[in-house]
Amino acid sequence: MKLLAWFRRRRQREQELDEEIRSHLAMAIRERIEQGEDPAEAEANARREFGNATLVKEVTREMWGWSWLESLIQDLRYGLRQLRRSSGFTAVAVITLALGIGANTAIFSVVNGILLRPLPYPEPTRLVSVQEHGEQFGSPTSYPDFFDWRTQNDVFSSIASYRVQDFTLTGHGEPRHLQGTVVSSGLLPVLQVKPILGRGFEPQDEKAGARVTLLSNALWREEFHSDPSIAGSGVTLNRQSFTVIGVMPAGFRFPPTFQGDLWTTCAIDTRNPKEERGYSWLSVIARLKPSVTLVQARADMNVIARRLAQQYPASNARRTTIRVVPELDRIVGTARLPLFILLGVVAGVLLIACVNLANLSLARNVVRRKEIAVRSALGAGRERLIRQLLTESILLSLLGGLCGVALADMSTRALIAIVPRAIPRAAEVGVDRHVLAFALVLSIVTGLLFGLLPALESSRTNLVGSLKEAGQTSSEGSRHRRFRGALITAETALALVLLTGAGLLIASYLQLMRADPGFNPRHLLTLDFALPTPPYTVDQTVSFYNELLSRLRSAPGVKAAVGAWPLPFSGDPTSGFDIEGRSFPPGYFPVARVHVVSLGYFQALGIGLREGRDFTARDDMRSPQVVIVDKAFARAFFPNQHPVGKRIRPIFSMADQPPWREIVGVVNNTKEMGVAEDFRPQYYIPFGQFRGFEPSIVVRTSSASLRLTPMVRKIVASLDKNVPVYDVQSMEQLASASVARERFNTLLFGFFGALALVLAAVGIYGVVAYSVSQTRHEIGIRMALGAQRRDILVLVVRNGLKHVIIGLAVGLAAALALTRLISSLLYGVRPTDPLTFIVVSLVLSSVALLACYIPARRAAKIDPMVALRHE
Amino acid sequence: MHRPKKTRYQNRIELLQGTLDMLILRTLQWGRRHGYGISQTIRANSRDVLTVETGSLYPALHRLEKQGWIAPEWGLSENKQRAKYYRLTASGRKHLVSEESRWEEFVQAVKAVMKPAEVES
Repeated sequence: MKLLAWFRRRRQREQELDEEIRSHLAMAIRERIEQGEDPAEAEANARREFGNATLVKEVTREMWGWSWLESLIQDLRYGLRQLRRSSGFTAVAVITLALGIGANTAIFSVVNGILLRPLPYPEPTRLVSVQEHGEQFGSPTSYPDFFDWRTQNDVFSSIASYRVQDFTLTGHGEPRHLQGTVVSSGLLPVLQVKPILGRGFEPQDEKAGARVTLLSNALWREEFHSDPSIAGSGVTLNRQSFTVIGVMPAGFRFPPTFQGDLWTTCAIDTRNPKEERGYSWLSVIARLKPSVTLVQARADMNVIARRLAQQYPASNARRTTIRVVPELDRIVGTARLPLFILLGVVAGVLLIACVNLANLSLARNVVRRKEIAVRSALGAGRERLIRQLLTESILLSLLGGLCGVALADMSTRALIAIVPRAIPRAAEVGVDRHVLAFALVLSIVTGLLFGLLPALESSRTNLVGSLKEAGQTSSEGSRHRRFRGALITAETALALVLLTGAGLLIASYLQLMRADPGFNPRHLLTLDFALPTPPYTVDQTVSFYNELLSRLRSAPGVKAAVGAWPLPFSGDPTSGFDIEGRSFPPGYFPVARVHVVSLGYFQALGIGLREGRDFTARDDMRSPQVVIVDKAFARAFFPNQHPVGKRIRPIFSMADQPPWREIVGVVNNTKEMGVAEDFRPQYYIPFGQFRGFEPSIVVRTSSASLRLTPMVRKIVASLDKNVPVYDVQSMEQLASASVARERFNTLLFGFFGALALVLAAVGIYGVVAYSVSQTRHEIGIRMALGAQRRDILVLVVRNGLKHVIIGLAVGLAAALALTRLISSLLYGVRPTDPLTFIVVSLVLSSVALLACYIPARRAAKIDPMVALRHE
Repeated sequence: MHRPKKTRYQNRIELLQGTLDMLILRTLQWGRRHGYGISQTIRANSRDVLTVETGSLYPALHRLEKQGWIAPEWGLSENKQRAKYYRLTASGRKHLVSEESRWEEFVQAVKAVMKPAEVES
């Protein structure tokens, strides 16, 4: 109602202003007639004296306030009409913008989901990961150390240890494999999350013999039909009965990147690992007290670490520092850099799109020169004209942005599907309100960016000149021409930088694919299963493995079956060790990748023995402890010596006092942790001397390995039908998964590089074609004066290529400076790889040449008579 | 690059704004007038030196009206046509007084700079 009244009042004022001005004119005319002027003359003179009535009204209206809103509505209506009228231009512009803004929105939604969105717990920034800065893989912690941290620290309001473990749920039909997390009782206070049903963990739940579990919402729904009285009832996990104490809220996940099914306490961990400081296998998360900073927490924890090192030198001498890092940093880790680089890449794509649109708008505004002149003759001020033109470009970019968001929504769904598991939090990627706000702001900025220069240029009209020309456009001003040249230069340079980045990653990926892992990955099948402990004792575990391996070996189609931990391409366990007779400066200790393998491992995988002997069945717990190292290990730690016969003492051990192990053999190098790496030192511990360990199984088959999957499952089930087999994969699948991140980066870079190339080509074509159409007259004259078609062709191509070449030079310089940023993503290719630079420059310049050549050929076909008569 | 030219009218507004406001208020001191009358009065009183462009006059009138220094009334003009008259309000009168003294100060200051001797004498 208020708005309606406002409009009515507004209309009345409008009429009053008209009347005021009419009466002004009437009085002026009357006075002139009274002074003896002829009536017609009087009216003309009065009008001339009055000036431009429309403009007077407009500037007067501005005094009323709110006129900006009105003129905005006017501009919008006018703009929409204009866009509808030139639907071809609108379509090209909207598609270009949709691609540019869509790409940015999609990548931003990934950045938002992975890097920016806070962890799904209250006050997430106070959550920290506490890590022993040590020699062991992933720097986890042992139970005794964790208990000491828990009682001795003053900086955390709560602290909890956790480790992931597989569970088998039985008694509900098919045995089901579940992902569980074994935690200390402080977990829920750390996360500040409460169960929706039942209670959380209490300190007494940690005591030996306690068997309690919290269920995930999904598990509760699927297996227990959302039974509201589940708390207090029993379930069978790993053939032991547990009491369900509660159900977690839907969407709760812990560890943060992990869709767990259940949580139980460390009461299930047996005496052995709990009392041995050497046995480091726990991750630790804590919540900082409200007033405590990261720096204070680090200082406090380091004091504790040094105290423990003095107290327990055998196990802790090297653990003198503790890292306290924000939990989000721990999770995101190495995913950060590539994402920010990708964001830069799509920004580059959008800039190219902007450059294209600036050219298009400029061309269109030149065509509209007459319209603009008429508008300014009718009283539109320059600001008003610019505002009108900018409204149109922002309208365009909002339309483009709308399509872009739709595009991004679709493509992020596709992205999530191909995002490798190695990228954390990928499931959280999606279009949310932050992404929408980003797209909106980006659209407006884009509209301003590509609209401003053309609007400034076009509003600088020479009224009389434009009207007299009556729409005929002879050759445009040299400033316009320079501006267009700069556009070509800019987009060539941008495209070159993006293409170089893409080229380097592709070259790097090709290197990766060619890399030799050091063993034969064909026809290998891998599988994992979980033996429930208990009832499986150490002896039972050993005999289960022995029996399983021998049954597998005698199965048809199987050439060899071995146990191995870790599986190739699927983990990076490293462990420090001592070398007998050598001392190292404090703070330094040798580290190498560690493996636990069964008999026949080297033969089964095709890893050649270079020196000494392989493991034998006699290498068991009673015989002298042995180890086999690889060539890289020998070169790194025993340069110019024979390592066989030397002794090392790996920290990685099931026992509190790790034994010395004699090196009995040297094998060829392999690349284990993804093929992206150079050969790194490794050593192998025999399964027979590492009791209680449960390695994965590798089966060498005589043909396509995955075909044996059902048979392998059957063999496991024949030993114990309650042991679920999961993760059956071929070695090729594992290898491919290990380079998933590289493939993902390459794919995205390649895609955006191609997009940049296409946009740049279209842009260059657009500029050249436009300037040909503007200079038809000139070309006609040249031809009339005797220029050959070839001359015209060369002229046009040369004019275009001139700017392309400057752009190439600028782009090369920028690429040289910028590719350093991606050096950490490259494998076997230097960021200044000359071959890549040459190939990319050649590709770009030939595409640019083509983009110039097509309009040039059209120019050469101009009939001089037609071109001249046309004017 | 030459600097973009401002629209003629807007240029005048900026140039004259404060002074024009004062001149309009002053003109209305002797009674209500319409826009045309105001411009004619200013022109006559300045002996044809100052001509007020309509593009400056009407925005100024509407601005002063919005500020409450002048109030509009509709009346009949000499030739029996409906016309919008403006009259000075009480606050407009107060504003005029303060503007006048500021103007006086300004003129004295300019004089002092331009012709120091005369002012001292």
